[in-house]
Amino acid sequence: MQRYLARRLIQTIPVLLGVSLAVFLMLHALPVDPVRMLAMEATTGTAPTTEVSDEMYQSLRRQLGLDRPLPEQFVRFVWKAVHGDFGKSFRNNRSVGEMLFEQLPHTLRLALAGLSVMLAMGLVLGVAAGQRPNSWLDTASMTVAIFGVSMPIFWLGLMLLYVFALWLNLLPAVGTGPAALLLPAITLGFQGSAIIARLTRSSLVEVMHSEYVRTARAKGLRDRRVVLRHALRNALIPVVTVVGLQFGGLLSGAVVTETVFARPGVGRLALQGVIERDFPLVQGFVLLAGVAYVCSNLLVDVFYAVIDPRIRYA
Amino acid sequence: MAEIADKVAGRAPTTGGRQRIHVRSRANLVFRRFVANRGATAGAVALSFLILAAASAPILTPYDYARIAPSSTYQRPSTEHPFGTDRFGRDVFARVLYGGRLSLQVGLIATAVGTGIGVPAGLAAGGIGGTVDNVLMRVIDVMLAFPGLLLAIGIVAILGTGLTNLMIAVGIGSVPGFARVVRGSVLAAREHEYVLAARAIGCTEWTMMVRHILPNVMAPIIVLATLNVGSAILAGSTLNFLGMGAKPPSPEWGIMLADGRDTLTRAWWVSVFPGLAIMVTTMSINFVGDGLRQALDPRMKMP
Repeated sequence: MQRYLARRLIQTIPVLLGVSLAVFLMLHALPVDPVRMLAMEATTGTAPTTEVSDEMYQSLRRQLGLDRPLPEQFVRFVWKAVHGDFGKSFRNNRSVGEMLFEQLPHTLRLALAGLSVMLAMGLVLGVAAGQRPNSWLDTASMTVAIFGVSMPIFWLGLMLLYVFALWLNLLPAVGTGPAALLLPAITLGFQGSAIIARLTRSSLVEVMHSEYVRTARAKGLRDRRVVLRHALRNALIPVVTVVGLQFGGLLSGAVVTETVFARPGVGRLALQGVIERDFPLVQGFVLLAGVAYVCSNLLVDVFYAVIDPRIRYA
Repeated sequence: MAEIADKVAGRAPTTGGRQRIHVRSRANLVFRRFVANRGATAGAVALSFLILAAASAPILTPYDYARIAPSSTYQRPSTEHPFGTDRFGRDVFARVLYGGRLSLQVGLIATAVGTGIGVPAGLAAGGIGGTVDNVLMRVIDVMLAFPGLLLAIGIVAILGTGLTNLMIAVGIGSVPGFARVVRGSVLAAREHEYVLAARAIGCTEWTMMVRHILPNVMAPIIVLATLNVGSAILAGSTLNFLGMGAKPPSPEWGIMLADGRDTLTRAWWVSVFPGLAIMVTTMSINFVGDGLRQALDPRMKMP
């Protein structure tokens, strides 16, 4: 077990380095020269000329550290990123790390709420469907699931906003309270819940045919107990992996949900960064999201090994 | 007995002394299995209908999707304007039809980019193996570390916003999926005896890959590419909604929704119809892809 954990941890390091390298190279893969872009914008404020003096260009380049050899730049980049320093925003000269960490709690709250909706809805629908395959409940649950994977989440958000906030006036459209979190959480969690429902169903149907479930039934246990205590325990194992993968969907979904509901958060901040071509901000966000995703998958793998003792750590 | 054997083999019944053996081609068999699947047929019919509607937009509506009509803003759906009009008096039905062209374009071009890069990468990784496989798969691992739309958002950030860059970004976002599926299928196909036979008659590695292995891994590629058109349409409209692609006068569905969002209280129809269009298109493509999967190989597993 410990050896498995150690190996799994070591495997993660090259991926994290690769992620950092990809994010680092973003600034060098640009079709525009970011230094010239910055220098031009700095000069247009004071002088009418669009020409950038060579002196200014070189000093800006030095200031950004772009005059150093690439490997050195990369080591600096990683070193600084590990310490939470993602450079300065091109737009307002603030520290990107500061900007991101300021918005992070909003996104975490939303992601957590979305995750809860995803699990609650996905498991309830999946269990309802898998318990009695081909019943009307199964058909209904799986129809909802098909809608879930085909529906654009920003449209779902808009429709929920229209029906519950504007038309029925049941929930606030915007705000920071827990009631205002409900619609965004449903929007964010719906797609994942559809995937989880489908998987839980197929997994449960398979397990329900196994012999130990027949034994449980033969003992005279009630249906509910057979499903919840016996079948579901094993049926949920593959679901755990998918929940980990859905964490990525939550991250990119947060960008969309925050935009639809005009909520603060890192996603919306990053989106603005893309549109305003604020590269350090985008780099910081993408790096943060990538690392968070890799780490969450690592955690899921560890958790997986803990809950399923049959897994061999060879 | 003979009748049962015929039925099992899917042959026409043998009549009298003369045996009439009806041999079905593989394509015919796949087609029959596809048609037998109700969801797949419904999806195919809906999809053809959507493509036809987008293609014949100028016949179906007299309105121009960009024409502003200040006298008829916010009209409810009526016989004249089946989907109503928006805040500029533009006909929503016309915009949804013309937007369909853009969405199909995004889906197809992004999928072409994804297969164009992902399939050769998967073939190389699975076929050559060794260092090539290792390096390619590490690159794919890094790409997969940026989940969902994040990879596409990152690429748009590099290339700049715009519809062309968006299609490239969504396409590159689908590369890891293709590369992984193709690699896995190639590794499985290499174990077959026909590969050994091909090697025995002296085929070069290249001939082996292109003439023998590629045709045998086409089924998962076709299925994944079909499903990918749907997810690319979904991803494309999302990025457009976020303002990373086409610019506002465009009738792209995501753009229409971004526009309708501001007028949700006044005119629900501006937001409802483009969203329904995205959903129906994606759903029918999903049904077709799933039907193809079952028809081509019922045991095929898709991620």
